[in-house]
Amino acid sequence: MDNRINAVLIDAADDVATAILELKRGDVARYLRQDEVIEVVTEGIPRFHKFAVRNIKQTELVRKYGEIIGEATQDITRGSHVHSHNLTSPTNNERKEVAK
Amino acid sequence: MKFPGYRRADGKVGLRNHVLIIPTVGCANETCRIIAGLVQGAVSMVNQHGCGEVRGNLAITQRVLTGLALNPNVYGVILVGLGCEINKMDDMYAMVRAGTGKPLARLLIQEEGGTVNTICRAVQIAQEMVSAASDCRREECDISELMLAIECGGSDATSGLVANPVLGHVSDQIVDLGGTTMFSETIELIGAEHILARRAVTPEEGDKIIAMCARREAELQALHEDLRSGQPTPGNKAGGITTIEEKSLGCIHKGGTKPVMEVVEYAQSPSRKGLIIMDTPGYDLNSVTAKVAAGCQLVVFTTGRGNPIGNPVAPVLKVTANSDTYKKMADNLDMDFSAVIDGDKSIPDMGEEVLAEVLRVAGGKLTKAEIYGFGFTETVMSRICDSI
Repeated sequence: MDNRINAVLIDAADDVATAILELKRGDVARYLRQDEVIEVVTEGIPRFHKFAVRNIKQTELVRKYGEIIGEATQDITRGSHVHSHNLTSPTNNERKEVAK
Repeated sequence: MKFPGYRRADGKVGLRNHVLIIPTVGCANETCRIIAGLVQGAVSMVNQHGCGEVRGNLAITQRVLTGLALNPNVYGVILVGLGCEINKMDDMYAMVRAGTGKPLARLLIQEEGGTVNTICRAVQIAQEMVSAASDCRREECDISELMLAIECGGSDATSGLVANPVLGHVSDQIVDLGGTTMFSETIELIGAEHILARRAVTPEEGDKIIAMCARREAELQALHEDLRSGQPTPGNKAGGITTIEEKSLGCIHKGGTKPVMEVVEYAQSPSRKGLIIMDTPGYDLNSVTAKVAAGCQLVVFTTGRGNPIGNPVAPVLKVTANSDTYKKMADNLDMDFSAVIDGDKSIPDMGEEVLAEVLRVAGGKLTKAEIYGFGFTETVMSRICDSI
């Protein structure tokens, strides 16, 4: 395994990064946050799927693109795959609040 | 930031200097195609409408045709109609004339006595317009004069990951420099409309974003069609997209992070500068046509799968972050962002490169779609119902 960047954090405030290469269990994901290279040991992550860049608690809101993409349905540890099994659309319907 | 452009009498800036031959009804399409084919510097376009229309559709046809005529990339216009259509030449001529003092001529095929006579007169007029147009000189113009249309089509995972965020950076830069950017494709905002609404300058503009998404969903439901079920699609999920919010965020990121200054109707010109949202379908030929009709002089089009389209009035700059797609379709695609995917370049650095390319294209560098002469058949308009 070389030391190349293999994941992307889109916004510095994001809770998840995206693997740009397939990562096997135990592989190190490397992504840039501003100009700093950050390394995370991941479980298996398919190409273009997301993993947590911090520990996320159940019901916490999860950000990508600097915006909320959903709510954790269980505790998610740093480096874990984030997808339908642990993330769902936010239960608070923000749209209704805005539409008022 | 500056670029060389054509300063028009009304103060607007053109990036191209076309003589546009407009068929005011579909019956004049072939005649217009021949006219434009005989005169270098003249372009034409397909108009499938202009007759057999209810009022709502006629209004859209007239707004789009007038908007394309008024676009500052167009030096002069020849309107060619048939003579008995619903879209009356007197009305079309008055609408274009009300918006511009640029060279404008009108011909009706029935009055001229057929296609050949119409072509003879139109070629003479077009030749004179092209001669005068070719005497115009580009002069230094500021990026604040630019109205950039941002489009995405044929998306894949790299679109939301890199290509759209890069365009978002470009949009933010142009807005910061006093220019205007516009994105649309209402269908692809659904699920993230609340985020855009939050960024609107006033609650009224925010409500328009929510309402236009709701309207498009309701219209489809009335036809027993459904947008949301199965979103994200199984293919999206396999590609790593979990929620509809995430999917639409990938789309809206191409509009950057600035406040939404105004929400405009289909093909309507904005009254403000800065970031603008237009209510259009997601079909690229249609939404590009509407944004160019609103006055956008240049289109940047992000794609994952690859796309060849152009436009008769505005250059369309194609960009992708998928290196395989770029290699396969390098004859259609203008820029490759895959260095960002590979980690060799940051999103802001790539954004700066795009901005530099935007200024080069603004100043006259041809896009690949322009080099092939694409655009004649690539104008599509929305309809409220079938022809009558």
